[in-house]
Parts: sequence; structure tokens; C-alpha cells
Amino acid sequence: MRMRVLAGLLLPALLLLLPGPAFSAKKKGEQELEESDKLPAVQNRKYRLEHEFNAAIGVLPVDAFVKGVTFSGGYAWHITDTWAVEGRGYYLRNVKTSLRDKLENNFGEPPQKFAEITWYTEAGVVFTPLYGKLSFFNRTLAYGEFFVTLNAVVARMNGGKATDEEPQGKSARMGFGGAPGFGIRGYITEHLSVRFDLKSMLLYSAGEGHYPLSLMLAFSYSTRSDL
Amino acid sequence: MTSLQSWGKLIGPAVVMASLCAWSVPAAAGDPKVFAQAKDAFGRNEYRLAAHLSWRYIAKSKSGEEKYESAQFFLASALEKLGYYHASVEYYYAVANNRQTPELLPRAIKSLESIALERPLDEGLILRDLLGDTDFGDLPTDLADFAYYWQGITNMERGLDAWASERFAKISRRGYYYFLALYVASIRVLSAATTDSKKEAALSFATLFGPLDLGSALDALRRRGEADSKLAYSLKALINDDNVVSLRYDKLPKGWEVELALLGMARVEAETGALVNRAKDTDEEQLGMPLSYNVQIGGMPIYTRAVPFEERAAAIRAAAARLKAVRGIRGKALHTLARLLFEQKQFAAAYGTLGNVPRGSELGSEILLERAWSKYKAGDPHRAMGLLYALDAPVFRKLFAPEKYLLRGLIYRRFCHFRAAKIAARRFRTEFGAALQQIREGKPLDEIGRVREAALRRIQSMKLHLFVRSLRQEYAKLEDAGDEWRSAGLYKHLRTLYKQKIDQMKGELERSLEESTREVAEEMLDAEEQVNLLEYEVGQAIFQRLSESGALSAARKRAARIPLSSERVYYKFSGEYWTDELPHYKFNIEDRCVE
Amino acid sequence: MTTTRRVLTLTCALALLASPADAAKGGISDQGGELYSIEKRDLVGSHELMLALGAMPMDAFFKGMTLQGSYTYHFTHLYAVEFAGLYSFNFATGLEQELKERFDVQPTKTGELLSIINVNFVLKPLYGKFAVINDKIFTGEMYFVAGYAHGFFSAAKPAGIDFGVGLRMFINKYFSLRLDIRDYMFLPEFKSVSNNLFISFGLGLTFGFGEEEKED
Repeated sequence: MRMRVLAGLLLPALLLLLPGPAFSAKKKGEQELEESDKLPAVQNRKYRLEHEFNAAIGVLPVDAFVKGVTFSGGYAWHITDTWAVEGRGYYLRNVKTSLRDKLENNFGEPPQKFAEITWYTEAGVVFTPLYGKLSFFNRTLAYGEFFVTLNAVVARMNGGKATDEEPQGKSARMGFGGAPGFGIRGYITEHLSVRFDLKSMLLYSAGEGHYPLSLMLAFSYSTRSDL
Repeated sequence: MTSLQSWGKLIGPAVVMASLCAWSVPAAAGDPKVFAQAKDAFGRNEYRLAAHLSWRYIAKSKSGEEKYESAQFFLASALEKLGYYHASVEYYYAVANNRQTPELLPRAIKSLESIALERPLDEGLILRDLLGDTDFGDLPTDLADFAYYWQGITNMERGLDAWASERFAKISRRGYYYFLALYVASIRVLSAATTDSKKEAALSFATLFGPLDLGSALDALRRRGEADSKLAYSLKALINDDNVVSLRYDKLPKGWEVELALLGMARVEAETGALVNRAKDTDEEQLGMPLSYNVQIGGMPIYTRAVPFEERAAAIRAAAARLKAVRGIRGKALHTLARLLFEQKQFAAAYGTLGNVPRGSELGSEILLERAWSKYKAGDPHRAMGLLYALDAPVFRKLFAPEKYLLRGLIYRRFCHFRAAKIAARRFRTEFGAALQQIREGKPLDEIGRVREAALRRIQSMKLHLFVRSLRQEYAKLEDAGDEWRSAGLYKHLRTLYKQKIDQMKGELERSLEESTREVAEEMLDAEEQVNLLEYEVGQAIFQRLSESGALSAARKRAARIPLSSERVYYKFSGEYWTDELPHYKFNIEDRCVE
Repeated sequence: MTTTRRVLTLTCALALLASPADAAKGGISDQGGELYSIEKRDLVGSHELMLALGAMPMDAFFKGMTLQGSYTYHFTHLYAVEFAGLYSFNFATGLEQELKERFDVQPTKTGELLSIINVNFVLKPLYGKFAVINDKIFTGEMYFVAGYAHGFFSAAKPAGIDFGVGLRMFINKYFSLRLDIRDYMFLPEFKSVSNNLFISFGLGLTFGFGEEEKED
């Protein structure tokens, strides 16, 4: 049968030489893929996120006086495989550094003189340009993504440099700013993944700028998109 | 095709001329100012305005008047720029057919050619009736080749072999149409039925291939000690000792047709490949660099030829002028070469040749399926199975290939995976069962969705289908026409033009589908028969296996172990298809057959 | 045929005739085998030179913007050895000034980090590919490093170790992009531990390719 098919194809081979654009006349936006269209790199993608809920633990490690341990929860809506919007709320447990301890205990500085973030929220966009898989010793595959984030931040702050109006240090106030960053995600199952985020915050509050660095490890549960 | 041609011959030109003349009001001559404005608007890239003004001029003039054809030409050009390709083709046809303004003829032909290379069009009207049947006199070389080629094809289709050969022989020995003609000549030697047509085909092949290349091939074979090969004898029968084409038909060996066809395809592939590489850089300095091509058949070298210095620049420029088309013919030549090698049972060579087909030039699904068959026949069922699984990728969902399941079943049976073989048969029935039932019930074939869909992808119907689709898209686009088009009557005229053509082409498509659906239905039924046979054989094998005594040692071959560390990387399939991986799949299957 | 054998034959035949679910995503193995895509590894050059820009953000007194250069010899696709050095362009955070102004205290000078040299063992067990906006595909690998590091501070030259993880993406035959996250752990006089987080983006140049294997 195969021979007959191939022999029969010789005559159509004659027809093949007729000029023709094959499928190139296809209108963009039609659902089905034609073979000669520009093919996506990945078809029938295994991991596709739609609604993501995550809980995370993190740290703000850079401040000289206080290290913040963050506990956060967030939601992200993955509009497409590449773009998402997310919101997150953080609660901080602040741990004094030894430097601050010395200043407070040995030099009698009031705690109010040291700026701390009590809690903050952020909302923004996530751009995921890379989706990949890595073969681990030829046996299993590890799937992951690399993404960049850009968030607007609203923070509740307490303490800070003394001023003429507040000689004992600043009182509670709000801070505003942004937090660009990047991260990687590793998939465990279709619905579970782990993500690591690194963000550099730029906060402005009461005439002062603050630049904490945020590192975060999150566990996510997500629904699958059927795009 | 003959009946379609007949229809086209009668109706096509009549419809075109009637449509175009319907709006020619034999009143006062058109205002030259309007024509000048149209020309200016075109120069300023205001194509809608240019079309409107050209139309106004035409509507007020009649054929034969000054600037009438020029206005038609500007109208055609403006419509082409706006994406109304069919309408522009109709007006280019009018200009080329009437030829009252000689300087417009080459421009009209050029435009028709560039549309024909990129888009579907009414091939019957333009390529066969206009180009195939008209002597245009002096045209620039590349356009003359375009005309000669289609004149050759038209004559060939009518059975006028000698006329066809005479036209093909006029094509200049470089550029896209030359390679197309050589490709056709290679097919022609295979498909010629009578002795006279075979002689004509052999002679035409030799003329096109050229005595220098024939001589080079023969010399190379002699140097390698292959003077007694069939190919060498075939070549000896085509040229004499002075390296002049001289056919001695009685000296051709048995099977000469295949030898020459293989050589022709290999030459097209090799020369176009070399030219495509060089055409990337048409800098004056680069054009003079050495250029040669190595003709190989399935990896076996035949000969190498260097292009003389004085011909290099022209050859490269000619390829660069139609680069996409040259790439396309290269892909076709490789594909056909692979199929011929498969027929000659050179399965490994067929597989390798298919692997060289440039991506995008031929249907990826067909290439994968044929590679699967080649690997299976070459004794590598693991690779064959991998390629079959690649065909499950979403992009290949529309591939009509019932033999895919058959081959899968055969491979599973080969390894005594009887359950899996039955699953393959069951999947065939899931996909084609309903359609087969409808065929048996006598439902009209073009009303069976599965059959119609597959038939529309047959070459002869596909072109018509794409053309009808393109016409509908352009027809819908007419709704964007502004008020000036509507008030001047251009909108209504174009609507009528498109409607008539859509109706005509739909009729041709339905006629073409009669044959295509029949072919598809036969293939389905044939495949069903094969699948039934496979299931029966699997059933036999199960009982045979179970009835053997346990004393037989189970020399079960373990599936190849996947190394922990290797120079190659292994990606285990997880349901996700990475497009670059599709040709690299391999199915690791354990042989369960008891020896 | 005995009765037992008849029953066995019939049972097996019926079992085979029963219609199981088709192998769906990933269920290839229940059809008697497993499907793999087997590809040759791209770009297995032996030598790699890398230049990277990075940051060391942890020090309270100085933030460092670093320039790192390294040479890596890739023994196989699985492991390599890396020789690296970095220089840190330090920017004072103003903490010293702040302590003086706000709290009227002078901190003990621990010294700023000036440079580091290190030698690492590199393990590359993960090799794969990335799709960029589901269009182009690049190959890459993930690797782990660990090794000896020697820090040059303004006040001390402690020894230590470093460890971390990196991601390398091959742009073409010769060039690759690298993202490294490491921790340099110094042990000044073996009395304390100083952790320095290091993040860098680099461009690698690979050469020394062996004979290219033909793809099947």
C-alpha cells in the first residue's frame, strides 16, 4: 500500500511544481494552526497558570539596623502565558541587628529612631519571557520559568530619623514607591510550584528614601489555564 | 484537470471581458486630467484615490482610447497595493491580453508573475489561457522564461510533447524557471506512457540538463569505476562522444527512467542549494567568488561542477531575484528525490534526504510520516515510532494519514506489544469510524466532514480551496471601501467581479472535490482493510504465543537503558511538544517477543 | 490444549480486547515504552571566558558593584572547574556618617571588601532549553558551584568558601548569558563568619569545540 501511495504521489509531484503559496494566505487570528504558519516553540504546554494563590516567607536583609522576616500571601492572575497581574500583602516580623542592640542598650537610643516597615502591600505586573525544561541526568525533567516583576508598593512604616518636630524619632506613617525585581519558578506538579523572588524596593516616606531588598520563597497553588 | 481547463477556457476570459466592459460607457472620452490625477495619486502612494480616479477615467472611456490601458494598469496596481489581488489580476490580464500599449506588457506580466509566486490566483485564466496560449514576442529574459515555462506546461497537459519540449528548451539556463523546468523534465521521464512520449521526455531532459553536466556526470562515474552502472549507460545514450545531446533510445537500459529522474532531482537540489547560499550576499566582489555544486543521490556523490566565472554573477542574481521560490523548488526536489529513493528500497538514503528538506518548504507532517516509514523499512522501529508520536502534536492535527495508525500497529506487533497494537487499531476507528460508516451508508462523499476536510488538502483541490478562501477575504474587505468608491460605482463593480469569480471557482472546487473525495474515501477503506488484517494477525499471534510451552527460554531483549550521563541529552516526553524536538523523538520499547 | 490453558488463553484474549483508556499525556509507558527526544548537546566547548557585572548588597557600610572575570574549563558536560576573580567598586551607604551624626558613635572598622579570588568545582546536572515568548528556543544549563574563596578586605585577607547556583543560556555557538547567585562565606581569623550575597549577570565566550557529531 505504501508503495502504491508513493508511486501515486509522483503525479501529484508534477502538480507540486505549480506555484502556490500553500497556506500563507491564512488570516491571522484564526484559531487553528496551519503547518506553514509560524509555529510556537511549545505546543500543548504542560504547565499553564491561570489563577495563582501563594504563601511565602521572605527576608529584607539589607538594612543595617533591622532585618525583616516577611510572611506574605498573594494572588496573581495569569492573563496569558507571558503576562500576569499580581497583588500581595506582607506582614513583617522585625529582628534587631546587633548594631541596633548596641545603640539602644549601650548608647540609650530610643527604638523610635530606627525606621522599620510594619507591613506593606504591592500590586503590579509580571512578565514571563522564559519557559523552559531541564533534563536532570537524562531521567527526569525540571520545568521552570524566569520572570520579571514591576510593582507599586504601599507600606506602613514606623520610626526613623529624628526631626525638629519629632525629636524622639518618626511616628507611624505611610510610605509609597515601587519594587522592580525578577524571579524564577519551579514546577512541582500541574498545580503546585515554588517561586523565588528578588525585588529591590524604592520607598519614599516623610521626605526620606528607603531601599530595602526583598528575597522571598513562595509556595503556589494555581489553576490551569485552557488558553 | 482537462474538464476544468475547458471550463476555464470558455468562461474565464468571457467573464473577465464582460465584467470589465460592463462599465465602459461608450460616451465621451475620459478626462485626461483625471488620468493625470490618478497617476499623481499613485505616485504619492494614495492608492485608494488612485484606484478611484483610474476607475472614473475608465468608466468614461472605451477600449482603444488613449490612456485607457494605462488607466487599467494603474487601477490594477492600486488594487494590488490595497490587497485586492484578484481584482488587480483581472486588470493586469486585460492589459496583457489586449497589448495596445506595448510598454505596459512587461510590467503587467511582471506583476502577474509576482502575484502568482506569492498568492493563489485563477491559474486556468492567467497561467494557461493567457501565458500558455499567447506568443508575447520580446520580453525580458526572466519574464520570457515565465511565459515559456507555462507554455511548456500547457502543451504538455494537452499531450503536445514536442511543442512542450520546444518551449522548455527556450528557457534560459538559470533562475527559478529553469530549475522548475528541469524538475518537470525529471517527472516527465517517469510519467511518459508511450514510446514516443518517452523519447520526447528523454530528449527534453537531456537538453535541459545540458551536455556539459551530462558529460561531467559520465566522466565522474567513469573515474570512479562505475562505467557499467545503469546511470552511466543512461547518460551514454543521451550524449555522443563530442558531448552533444544525441538520443539513442535503444541504448537506454531497463529502469533508465528512474536513474534520470533521480539525477535530475539531485541536480536541481544541489544547484539551487549552492545558489541559495550565495544569494544571501550579492555584493559585486562576492558574486565573482568560485561557485560549484555537488550532485549527490542519497548521500552518494555523482559529480561536481564549477560554474564558469562569466556565468556566476548572473546565476546568483537570478536566484536572488526569486529566492523564496528557488528555496521552494529545492524543498520539492529533495522531497521527490526521497520518495524515489524509497521506491528503490534505499530507505536509509530516503531518510537522510528527507532530513535535508528545508523547514517550511514542504509540509512538515508529510516529511515526518515519510521519515517514519523510511526508518521502519530501514530496520529502526524505535525511531520510526518516535516520529509517529511526533505526528500527534497539535499542529499536525489536520494531517490525514490513516496509515499512521497502521504503522504504529505494525511496530507494536513487531515487538509483541499486542495490547498496544490493538489500541492503535482502536484509535484508527475512533478517528475514522464515523466517516467510514457514512461512506458505507452511501452518504455523498463531499458531505462527510472528515472526507471533505482531507480532500481539501489534496493538491488539486487545495489550490482551488485557498483561492476561494482568498477571494472571500478580499470580498469581505470591500466593505472598507469609502464613499468615493461607492459613489463612482467601483465598489459595485468590484463586488460583482468577486461574486462572479467566487461562484465560478466554487463550481470548479466542487468538481475537483468529486475526484479528491473519492481518493480519500478509497484510502480510508483501504486503510480499514489493513487495520482489520493487522488485528487479525495480532489475534493470531496472541494465541500462538500463549499456546507455546513454558520451556522456551524467554530471551527477552531489554529496552535500551537511558544513560545517566551522555554526550546526548534525553528529554522524556511528558505530553508537551517542543517544535524543535519533533524530528528527534525515539520510542524506547521493550521487545516482548519470546524466541 | 488443557482446560486451564484454554481458560488462561480466553482470559488473556478478553483482557486484551477490553478497551483501556488511550495513553493520554505522559502515559506513554503503559503502551509498552517511553518516548524520548534525543538531541546532541549544543555548544560543548571546553573553554569559557566570562565577564560579569554584579552586586554585593549585604554589607551595611558599603554596597559593592562588582566586575568579575572567570575562566572555566569544562571537562565534560557534567562538571567543570572555574577560576574567578572579582573587583568590587564600593559605594558608601552613609551608615558611618549616620552613626556619627545621629548617634555620635564611631563604628569599629571591619574594612571594605575590595576583591575576591576563588576556585570552584562546577557541577552541571541540568541541561535543557528555554522558549522565549514561545517563539525562539535557546538551550541552557543550570549548575551548582562550591569552592575555596579568598577575600581581600581593606583590613584583612580572610579565607573562606563560596557556594551558589547559576543559570546559563546559550545565545549562539560562542556566546552565552549567565546569572549567578552565590554566597561568599569568609572566616576572618576563623573567629567569625561573614556572609556576602553576590548576584551577577555575565556574558560568556566559549571556544575549544570538539568534532561536531552528526545529528541522526
